[in-house]
Amino acid sequence: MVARPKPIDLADTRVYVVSKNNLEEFIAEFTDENGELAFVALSIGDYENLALNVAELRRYINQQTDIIVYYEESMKPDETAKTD
Amino acid sequence: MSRVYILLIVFGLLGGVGFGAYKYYTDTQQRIQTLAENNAKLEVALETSESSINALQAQAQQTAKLTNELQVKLQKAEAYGDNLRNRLRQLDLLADAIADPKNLEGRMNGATAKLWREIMGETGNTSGSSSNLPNWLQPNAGTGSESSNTGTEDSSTSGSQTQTN
Repeated sequence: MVARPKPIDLADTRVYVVSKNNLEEFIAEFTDENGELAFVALSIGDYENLALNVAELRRYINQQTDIIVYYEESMKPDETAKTD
Repeated sequence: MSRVYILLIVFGLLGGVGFGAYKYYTDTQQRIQTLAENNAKLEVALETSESSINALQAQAQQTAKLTNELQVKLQKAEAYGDNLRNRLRQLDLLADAIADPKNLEGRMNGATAKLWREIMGETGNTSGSSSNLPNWLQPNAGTGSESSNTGTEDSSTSGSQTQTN
């Protein structure tokens, strides 16, 4: 049986939600935390697309794993045949 | 003299009948032995055949069972994406972002942290899946919704959960 790939190790990611109501506060706090005011921004729609893309990747990984498990189980010797 | 000839003929006939009977007997025994051997071979072949059929039937049952289990698992893997799509349709993130950005931020960060841990757990990273939440998430951050598959945010209405140092 071939060994499974190494489990994934994910780093935490922080999201900031900014609207016109908290823009000034965000700039102040973000600059205080990170030193520089430079960030990557996503629209709400793109954030939703990103989340759906991650969901698709997760589905693919899990289904691929399920199929691998299926073949692993199929290739196992039949226990009942051994005892017969 | 004629008696002697008759006697010879009778002995000859008896001898012929006896030889014929002997040949018939030995030939029949030979046939019986051959048939017994063939029968034994057929029994062995039959046992092998039955054993093969049983093995194939067991294999077919096992394959059917595994296939059914696979179909269930494949469907289950679709659940997260389906739930997420439904949640995103129900929610209005734009309105939430304008109304209370800190609240939405905390829900997003909580759900995201939960998602990363779930994915790590699914690939076998048990330590990663149970690691502490990042420091910018308060304990009441609401790490995802009640369901583990509801997407990038939960429906929590708690206040700001994002620490700002």
